[in-house]
Amino acid sequence: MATVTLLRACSRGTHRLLLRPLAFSQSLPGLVKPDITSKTVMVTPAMQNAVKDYLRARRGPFTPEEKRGNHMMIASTHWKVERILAISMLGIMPACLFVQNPFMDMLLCTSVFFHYFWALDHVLTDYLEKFVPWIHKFWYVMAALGFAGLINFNLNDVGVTKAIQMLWSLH
Amino acid sequence: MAMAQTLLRSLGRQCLLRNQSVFLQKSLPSSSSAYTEMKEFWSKNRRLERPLSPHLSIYAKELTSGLSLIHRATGIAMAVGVTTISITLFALPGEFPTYIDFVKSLAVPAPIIIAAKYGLCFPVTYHYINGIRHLCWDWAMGFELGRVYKTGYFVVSLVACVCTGFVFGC
Ligand code: HEM
Repeated sequence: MATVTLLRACSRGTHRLLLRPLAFSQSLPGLVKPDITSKTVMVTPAMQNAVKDYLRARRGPFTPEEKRGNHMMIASTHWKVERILAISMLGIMPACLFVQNPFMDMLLCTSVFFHYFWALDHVLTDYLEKFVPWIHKFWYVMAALGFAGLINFNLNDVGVTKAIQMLWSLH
Repeated sequence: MAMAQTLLRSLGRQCLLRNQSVFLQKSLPSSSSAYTEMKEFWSKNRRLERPLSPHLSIYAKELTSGLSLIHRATGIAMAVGVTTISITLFALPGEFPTYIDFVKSLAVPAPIIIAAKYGLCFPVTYHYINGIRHLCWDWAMGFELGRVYKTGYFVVSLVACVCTGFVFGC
């Protein structure tokens, strides 16, 4: 519940400021949703036989539109949000060593989730997007299931902070 | 009215909202000279069949790149691990204390428990402590090569101490 409220507050507060206005996206028809799959892949002569060549950087350079992508925020704002989140986790994670309760469960899960959700998405962009264009969608589904699992664990089981304590008391 | 306009304009120009696209009057050009240059560079790379950079098979092993790689590897491992465990527990019918009791009933030898605790503790401790180093770099602190090495050795020692403290102390 705390998580849902937090999320809702976030989307309310930042949407107006950060959402790309409609007029802007309409002035860039076709650029807002770059279709990666429809781009032709350049084939070099060396690519035709070896697996090694498959791992070569095949698609590029990315156009400015492709780099901008279809996002709610401009990249630098997103980058700042991610850093602020990481810095707050520096306090949240040690705090969980001392306090275990449902609020800390939700705080830890939400902050850690959003950190790794975005961070792994960037890793996928670095390594896999150019080979497996649908990989981001796969990650969104898995991450959402994982987040649902975490929330369910906090609501209907012992909660993450208690669970870590129980696990660590094994010897 | 005029004042409000001036205020709004200065907000858009210099302040918080400077980078927001609300204030972008014209759409950005769809290509740039930088892009054209990159395109030439890429076609040259293809023509000469150049390998990826860095050329991993001949690239020297360094502490600095190694630590960055471990940061990324531990981050990925934790993200995949948390997601997998969370979905698995979501799907299983039991409650967490039951699994803990089950592990207790196995009477696992102490060395294996200690090894497992190191295995769980290392990624978190390392990523946390080295994460502070990464954040410092993000604010352009500690970029001199000598300091990158010093903080690197410091992180490795600190992680070893903290991790051992967690495994045996708490
Ligand atoms: C307080 C604790 C943490 C801090 C300060 C932190 C900090 C960071 C930073 C600064 C980066 C970006 C690295 C770069 O600039 O290349 C990063 C990446 C990442 N983090 Fe964390 N992190 C923390 C905890 C976690 C946890 C608990 C997880 C997973 C459950 C995680 C998963 C990741 C992943 C997957 C990446 C992407 C790997 C990369 O870009 O190299 N982090 N973290």
